[in-house]
Amino acid sequence: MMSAPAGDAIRLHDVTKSFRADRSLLRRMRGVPGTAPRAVLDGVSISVRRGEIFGLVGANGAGKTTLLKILSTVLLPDRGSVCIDGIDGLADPARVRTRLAVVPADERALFWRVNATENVRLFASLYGLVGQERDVAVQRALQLVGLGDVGRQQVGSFSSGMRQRTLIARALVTQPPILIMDEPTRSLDPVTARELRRFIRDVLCTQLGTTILLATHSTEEAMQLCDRAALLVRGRVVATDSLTTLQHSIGGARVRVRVDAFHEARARALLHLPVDVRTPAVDGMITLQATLPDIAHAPVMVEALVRAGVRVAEFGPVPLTLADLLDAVGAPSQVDDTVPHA
Amino acid sequence: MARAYSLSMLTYRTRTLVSLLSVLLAVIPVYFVAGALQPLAAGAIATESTEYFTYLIVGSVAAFVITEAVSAVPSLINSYITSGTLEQLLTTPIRWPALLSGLSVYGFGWVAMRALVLLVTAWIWATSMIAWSRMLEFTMVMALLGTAFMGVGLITGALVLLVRSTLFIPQAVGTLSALLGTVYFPSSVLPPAFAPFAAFVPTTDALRAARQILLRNAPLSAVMPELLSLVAWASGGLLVGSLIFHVALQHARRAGTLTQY
Repeated sequence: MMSAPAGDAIRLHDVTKSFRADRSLLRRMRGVPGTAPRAVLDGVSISVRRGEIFGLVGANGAGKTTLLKILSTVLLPDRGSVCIDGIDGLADPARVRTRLAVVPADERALFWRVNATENVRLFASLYGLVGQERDVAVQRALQLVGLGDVGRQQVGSFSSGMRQRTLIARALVTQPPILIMDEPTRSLDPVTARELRRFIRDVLCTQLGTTILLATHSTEEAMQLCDRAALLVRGRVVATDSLTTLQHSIGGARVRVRVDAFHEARARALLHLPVDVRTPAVDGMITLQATLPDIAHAPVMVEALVRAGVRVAEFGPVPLTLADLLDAVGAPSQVDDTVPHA
Repeated sequence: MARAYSLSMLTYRTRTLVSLLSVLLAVIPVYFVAGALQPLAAGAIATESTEYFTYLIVGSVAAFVITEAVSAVPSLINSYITSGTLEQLLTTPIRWPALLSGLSVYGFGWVAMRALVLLVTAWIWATSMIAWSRMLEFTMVMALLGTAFMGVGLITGALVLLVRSTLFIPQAVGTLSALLGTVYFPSSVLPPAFAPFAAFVPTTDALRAARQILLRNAPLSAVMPELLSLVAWASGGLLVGSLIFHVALQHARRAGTLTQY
């Protein structure tokens, strides 16, 4: 049995997984082209420290969900090792299941026609809680996610945000040391998503000390939540670090500058942008996007523009996008979505 | 598991009511057809029942049990794979036998309810007796019959895990069981080519024992050979079914077919 260093809650080494592109038995028997297995994960190695929020960032089809399924023991890798909270996930999956809980992306995994309390109660029972201990745990979990007052309502009558919270309450009912979350804000509106992120950061991580592995294709989410992240491209980890460091690795900070159109050429020259290009003006103002060597150079740049007589109406950083990250590591931002997902 | 699933199913109040009413309505033609055939059937069923109507009612109860046993597991697995619930349940420490047992409780409870409606209706209309005091033994026989066919249900569930299809096994088993297992007619009226196969269907033993107990008030000792045969069928079926399901589950974990696709 492999052992993880004291600081690592999750440790994956060389995890590889392939799926058949076509699962039709008849087509496979006839040897139809395109039925050969295709790699979804290729030698993935990551370590997640205890108490941190770790992001798995990647486009659709990058292998994030497959990796989460391997961690939660519902999928076996073709090769590699998985260590959860010091337990070998392949040799002793039953014990691993007592140490982690999964918050799936799909709300359909709830029992929609029963109330939130019963949904959470079911999972408490599956984890071996009984009697008063279970009832207390269920109420505590619902209170924690802000559903204490609506526990008697049918889940089917909930909004997407409330269902997502029910899924989290269900996962938290046994207070697992490790939480695996698959795109937790996927179906939420921006306000609810922001609230949920705050809850994950402040309550789950800071207050409860839960280690969180979170899959997302939103770099905004990863930037706000994650201490570190692994960038997954076509089943390979191409970078692992803090998002700030990854942002630096793309070669500087991108900024958006709104200046008066009359001085466009001058502004372009100072920002090292091509001067023979014209940007359409709106109300006499144009918006330019430039890359600075470092965000620390921003005040100097604003000062230079103002000194050159350019009226600056707005100057701010451009949020890092997944496409930027993929471009930076030389990966195509349009990924092949034909790989089967598990 | 049983509680959550049952609560969920019981919210379909209209469907529940309609289902019970349909059982009641189905008894009406059975009653008249059985009455019309009574003179013809009396001789052939004499060892198990004096009245063809009660003979058919007990056969129908067995058909309910068999249908539930062979189709409950594959149907649940199919729908839970689609919703992602199966994966979620398998991330918890609970073992699959406990999981499937919990999920099956509601289905078999519902079968018991419909069977009771059938038997009470038969008791009201029938001219012959129903030995209510022997209900426990009758239930035990039906439980053994369900367990014997549960093996088929597990094998079909394994097929759903592997290829997402039951390959019509539940329908085939249901039809063969009805044809050969004395559900609606005794094996003596089967064509000579089929009659010998009736002995190799657990339904035949189960129904012989169930009818003897409930309609003839026969002691358990009188049906001991049938009971022993049923125990053998139930043990073997459950063992083989469990082994195949376990292997299929492991394969599905490798192939990724536990998930919706």
